[in-house]
Amino acid sequence: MLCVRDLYLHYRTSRGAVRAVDGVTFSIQRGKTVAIVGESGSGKSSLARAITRWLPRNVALYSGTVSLEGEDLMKLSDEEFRRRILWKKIAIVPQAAMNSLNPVIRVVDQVIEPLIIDGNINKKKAVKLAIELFKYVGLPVDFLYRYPFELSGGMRQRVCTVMALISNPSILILDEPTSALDVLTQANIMNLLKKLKKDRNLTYIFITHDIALASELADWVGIMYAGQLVEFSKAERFYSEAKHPYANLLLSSVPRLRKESSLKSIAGSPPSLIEPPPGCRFHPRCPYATDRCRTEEPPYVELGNSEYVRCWLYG
Amino acid sequence: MVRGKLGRAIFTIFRYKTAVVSLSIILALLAISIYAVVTVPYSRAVEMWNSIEYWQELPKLALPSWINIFSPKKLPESIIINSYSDNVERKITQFGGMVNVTFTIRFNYSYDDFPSEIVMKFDVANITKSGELSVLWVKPSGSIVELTRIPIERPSSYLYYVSQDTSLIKRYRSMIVSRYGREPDYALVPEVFLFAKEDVSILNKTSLSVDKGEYNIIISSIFFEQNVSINFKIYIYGKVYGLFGTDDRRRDLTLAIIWGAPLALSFGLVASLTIALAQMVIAAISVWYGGFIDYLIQRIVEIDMVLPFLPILIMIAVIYRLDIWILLAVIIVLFTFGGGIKWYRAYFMSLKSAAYIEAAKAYGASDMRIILRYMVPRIIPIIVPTLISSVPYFVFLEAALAILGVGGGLKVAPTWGRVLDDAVSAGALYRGYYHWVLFPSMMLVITSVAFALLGFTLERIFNPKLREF
Amino acid sequence: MSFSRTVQKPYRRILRFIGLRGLSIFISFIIALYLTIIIANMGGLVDRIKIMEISESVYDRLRGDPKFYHLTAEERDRLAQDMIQKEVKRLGLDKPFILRSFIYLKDALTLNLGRSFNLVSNSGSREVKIIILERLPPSILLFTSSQIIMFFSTLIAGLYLSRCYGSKLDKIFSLLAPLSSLPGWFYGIFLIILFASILKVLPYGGMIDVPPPKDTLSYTLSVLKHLVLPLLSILISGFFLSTYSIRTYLLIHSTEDYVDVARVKGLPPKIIERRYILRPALSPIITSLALGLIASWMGGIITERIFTWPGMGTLIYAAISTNDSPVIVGATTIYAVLLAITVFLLDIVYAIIDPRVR
Repeated sequence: MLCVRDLYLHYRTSRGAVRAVDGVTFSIQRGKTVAIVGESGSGKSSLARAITRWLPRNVALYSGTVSLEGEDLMKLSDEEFRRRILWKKIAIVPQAAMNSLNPVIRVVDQVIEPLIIDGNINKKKAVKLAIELFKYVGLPVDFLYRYPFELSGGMRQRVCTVMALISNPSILILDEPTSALDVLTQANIMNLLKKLKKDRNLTYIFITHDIALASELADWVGIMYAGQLVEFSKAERFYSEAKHPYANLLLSSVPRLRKESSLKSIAGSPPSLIEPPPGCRFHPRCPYATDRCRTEEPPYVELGNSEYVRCWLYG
Repeated sequence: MVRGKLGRAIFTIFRYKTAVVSLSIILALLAISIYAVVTVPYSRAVEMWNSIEYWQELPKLALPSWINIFSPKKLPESIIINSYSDNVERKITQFGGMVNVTFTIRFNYSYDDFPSEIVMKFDVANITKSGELSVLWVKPSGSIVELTRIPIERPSSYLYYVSQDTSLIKRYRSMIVSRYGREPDYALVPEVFLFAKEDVSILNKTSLSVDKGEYNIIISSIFFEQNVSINFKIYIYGKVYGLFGTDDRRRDLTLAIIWGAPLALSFGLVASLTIALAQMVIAAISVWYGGFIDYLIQRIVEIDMVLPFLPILIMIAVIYRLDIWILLAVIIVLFTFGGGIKWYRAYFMSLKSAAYIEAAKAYGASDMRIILRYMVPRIIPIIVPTLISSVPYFVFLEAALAILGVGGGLKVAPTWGRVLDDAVSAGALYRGYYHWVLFPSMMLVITSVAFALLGFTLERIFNPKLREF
Repeated sequence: MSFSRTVQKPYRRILRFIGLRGLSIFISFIIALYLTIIIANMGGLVDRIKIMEISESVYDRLRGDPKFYHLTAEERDRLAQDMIQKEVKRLGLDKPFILRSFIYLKDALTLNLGRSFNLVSNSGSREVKIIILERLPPSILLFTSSQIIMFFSTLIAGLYLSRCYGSKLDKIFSLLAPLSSLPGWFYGIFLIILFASILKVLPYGGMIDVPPPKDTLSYTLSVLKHLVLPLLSILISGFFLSTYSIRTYLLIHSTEDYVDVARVKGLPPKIIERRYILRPALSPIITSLALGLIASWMGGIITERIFTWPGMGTLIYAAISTNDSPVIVGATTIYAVLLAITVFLLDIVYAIIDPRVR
């Protein structure tokens, strides 16, 4: 349903071009969840921005194909994209909901905004919808008439979720929806997401750094490293036998509850997005690096069944 | 570590053109101030500014002398002649019991415009019997005008204001009427007609022209005793003088322009600095001790904000007849408890709960150390731009008080504001004495814009949020 | 349902907030007024004013009442002194300083401001209250018109500037901002030189032509003609810095996360600008405009003197020149009242705009 091909997003900074999204390709079917996993600075949030055309002022390069149900969104004008696609077909629950809400406008007004502004829904109906959604996510209804500063972090997160759902999009991008929350709230949110997925057949792009958390929802897993997808596999196959060395290292770094073992970490630190290492960008930290890895950048090859990997181990 | 940051900050400042320009202007003003203080000490400057005798030889309301470089019409400079000048010839003759002392003064006048005023002073001593003094005016064309006859009764100084001699004016007017058959179309004044070409052109103000050449003034005096000493001084006041001209009390504006610099700078800087430091300290105390002290200080600030600053200042100044420096102290007190404290307090509040402060407290740092090492260096980037930006406000406050006629004691200090007030009060705006307004204003503008520009630039440097903009 | 309750509650909260703030400001105002009186009376000035007023009214009474016509001058004086003493005792003015000051405070609050030393109102009265009331309308006219124009022009200009930031116009404005360090009255001097003295198109000062025109239309036009230069001087002084500050506030607020989120919500740019940038930024913008407002109240005193605008400013100037302290004290009192009202109105505006304040 959603096909992303050769997506590039570079930012212009005083220190050079930041290659945040450097040629990403993957696709999702309706009702499935894709988890994009990676360390901080790997470009996952930028990927979300690239898909939703949520760009800052200093864009150096933005190209590629994003086709939704056959239509190439990149070909649409900004205004058309805003009117037809944004929020109505694809919505995003941004990271760090603490400051995502307008502090001087009541919650209800912010939630129903997208409906009233461009849509032709009258206010009463929109408020009813908001009330329903609030009940659905388990928020007390009178919070609608509060101001955002009166709500806690977890509540704000849920408000943002409601806000994203209000126009009934088919694709929902969730950028680190639980990173700033405690474990209990995290569990609540995850349950809510599962419920929504079941009831509304939502398609999720779930962005996280927590590979274990991703396993709760993911049908497909994509691993991002230095702005590129280095692996894209079906979830079951991924968690049993991941292909890319980085993915494997990530999986083995998750502490196990019942086995006693020392904590494993990955040596080195994430590379700079301005000047990535030559050849395979993971080679400085890869235990299997060869000379070829150090000089030639491995291509993004399809291994069949829409699974991809970017590593010289797989040709 | 703090020094390194300071060094880097200073370095970045120089990257901004505006900062360099404003800093050089401020340095120039400082140089002028030092020059002023060194060449003429403050008390002397005030004395000079308030004296009348000191400026006697200067013309009133003169323009700066360099204006003659640009003007096709050469404006006259003052010509001052006394008994001992080179161009004076003294002749004493005796006849019977009469002693006749005659002074013949020759001077050249080739300016394109007329003088502003003519005054003559005669000092007579050693006299017991009455005598007489008469003055004759000889123009280059040869025509002779009898100016006046002054009876001398006793030893004294006799002042003769030629420009206001109504009988001279009357005599001359009737001479004109009888010679040319009609009245001139303007009011005759001696400083004009004593130097004007005597032909038909004298009848119209627009056709007036100066009779250029050698003038003679003959002062002849008759006494009936010996050893009468007689000295004179003739002031033919010009229309230009000095670097900045003069005001209506003949004061050379250069004194006020130059001395205005240290006065303005000290007023502005003392006020800004004291207020900023005092506010910072009070805000710090308020935040640190919290509780009742914080509440009290907040109430005081609120009361101060409701106090109408300028009217109260005026009220205090008028009722208690304070001079400008005591008023400065009052201004500082009134301002210190004002709204600025709220800003510092808000900043300190955010600092107080900052993580690194808690960490410092956790490892047992003393209060003093925390304040000095953590709070103060972080607040300096906020104080400095505000401080510098507020200097112009106080400089203009002093000028405003001057214009309202407040804060001058018996001896007025030569500040730019005072000069501006003198000018506005004397109607310089209507009467076209623009130089009197322009020069102090120019200094005020330069000072003000320099500080404002510097403060503005510093604010952009020190506030990282603003740097992108 | 619960909504009607939840909608009503906020309004009650606003009213309660306003009430509390009003009370707080009122108390501060009383204390400020009290301070003013104490400062004024530290040299016994207010006492003198009061006694002078009493003796004047006593002498007026003696002169007017036929009962006392037959008295000689000395007898009248003795009787007058007696009556004055009685009156002083009655009003409690022989009590110690502190108690007297409360009596004066009551006077000030009821606007019983005494009589001037020498200034007289147009109607011939020497009552300070009347003199001031006469001068208040021109000041308010000048002041409100300048503030209204300033508010809207700087807001619109600041908005425009924030949209085209980084452009040449933007850089020019940042260079012009320091020009605002020169106060309005200073620009006034040069405006007079240029437009009144050299070009002779606008009047030197005053509020109305002399003699004033008879019909209302020419009267209004005359006032407008005289209003131009003072208004212009206030505007030129404040415009550049205010506009630049507003532009900076708006830019800072446009980098907030919620503005970013508003973009990806698919909201049109105009809505984002109005609801997400302007509305949250309104609070600090109004703060700085308010400070400018209060400053212009003060600066207006000097502006009026320069333009001989017949308002409070020239009144104060006249009082200074003639050493008429009662008028000065009275004017200070009135300014304190105006300031308190302004601060209070401001707090109300904040309460309406920024829910966080409540």
